[in-house]
Amino acid sequence: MTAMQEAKEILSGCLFVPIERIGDDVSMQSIKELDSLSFAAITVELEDRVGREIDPVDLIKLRTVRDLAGLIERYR
Amino acid sequence: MLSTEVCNALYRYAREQNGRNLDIELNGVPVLLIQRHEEAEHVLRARAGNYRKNMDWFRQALGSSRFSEDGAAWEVRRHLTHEYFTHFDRERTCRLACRYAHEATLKLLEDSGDGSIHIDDGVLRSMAVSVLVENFFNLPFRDTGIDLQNIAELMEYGSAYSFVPAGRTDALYRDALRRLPTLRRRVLQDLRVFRSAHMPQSRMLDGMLAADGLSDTGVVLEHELLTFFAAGAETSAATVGWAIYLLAHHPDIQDRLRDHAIRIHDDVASNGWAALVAFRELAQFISEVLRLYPPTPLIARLAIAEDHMNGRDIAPGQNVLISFVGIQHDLRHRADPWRLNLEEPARRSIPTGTNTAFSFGPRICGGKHFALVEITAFLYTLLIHARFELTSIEPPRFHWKSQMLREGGQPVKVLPLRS
Repeated sequence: MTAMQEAKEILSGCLFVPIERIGDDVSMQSIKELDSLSFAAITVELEDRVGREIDPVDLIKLRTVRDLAGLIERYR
Repeated sequence: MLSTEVCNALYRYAREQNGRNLDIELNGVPVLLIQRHEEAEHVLRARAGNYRKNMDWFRQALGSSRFSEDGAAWEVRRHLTHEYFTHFDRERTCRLACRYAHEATLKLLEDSGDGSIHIDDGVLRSMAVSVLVENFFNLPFRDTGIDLQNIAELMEYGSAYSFVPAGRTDALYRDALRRLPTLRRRVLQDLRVFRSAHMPQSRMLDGMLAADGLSDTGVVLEHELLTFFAAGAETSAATVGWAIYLLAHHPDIQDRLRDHAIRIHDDVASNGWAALVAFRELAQFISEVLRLYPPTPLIARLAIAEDHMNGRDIAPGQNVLISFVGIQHDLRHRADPWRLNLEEPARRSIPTGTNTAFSFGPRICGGKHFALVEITAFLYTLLIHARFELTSIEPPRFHWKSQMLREGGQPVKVLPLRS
């Protein structure tokens, strides 16, 4: 699975939207309003998948689906 | 307090502080708990504009929907289902409800025959969702391949974490967060069938899909469907569970209702809902079930403007919980509000289950009439095919799972009429 596919899978589960609705370059906020529960779920699932803690500064910088895919690649 | 414990607390408040509104704290959050019909009327009807829905927990777990939204977002979503809920075919709904209640009865009889001493909530849930899906989407529910357990788990999740304070990050909460995306992906997968080109023609589904395709509405088909199942089927299933418990608890009433049901059987077979709607004692029984055990026992509001109510000032930001348990057990209206009473109230102003449990004011439950038709047909069918016996006299403990269920299931055995 590519990092982009993985990013979309994470967002589909955490934002509760079908994966087909998630484009590569759209902002995460435009997919669905990012509430605290969704953000916390993204963090936990991301850390589980890469096997280590994510620097909160990196999380705060996330804007788009492609940013998330990039983060997955960097932490792998 | 655990969020799932909230129903037990509502009954405790209704007994110990009957007829009074209370200032309580829910996990550190100050909340005004309304137990009087007068102030519920004020918040839900007279000054409804001052109080917005406070369903963030529901939205976070299950997505935005008609149930959770306010203002323009609510209007868009209401438009998707309202017409169908208010102009549904009562005869068709009645026929479907009788058919699926018969199937459910056979399953419950089999379970009891195998030694079960509890009603399986899953059987009732499947019965109710079958009527809903076939009625509005023209598809037998069994053909969808949906695993109702996934939806039930997601709803339980929403309820369990509804009062968890923001920022909580302990191990238990992290485990719960870990479960959430997996569960959601399973539900999304289950609901894919509704996006399939092979779905039968359904105007309601067409409308939902069209709204889902417009980026500015924020509508997601799966969120609407999930709420549709939760509000349209789970609450009816919970009500039928409580009705079966009360029938078993009151064998004299059970016998009387069954005698009447058997007497009108030929008429119902010929004339369907037109005959069943005249069964007034069953309607009164359903109202009492809804009064004693409202499937939606509370609703939450948030004050958005200054207000004055019953001698107290309300500031914006005040959390308000309306307890239907408290309102419907108010001693000012009934000598013994804890007792099942099939006599119709003397005055229209007295809160009854049918008039209050679906809420009131501009945000009244849109599926109220649909629910009453199907619950009547469910109970009529259950009564003419089986009898119900209590297996425990322990008073109920409650489990909140987006609706109020009995912890451990209803302690009832289902038996054939002649045994």
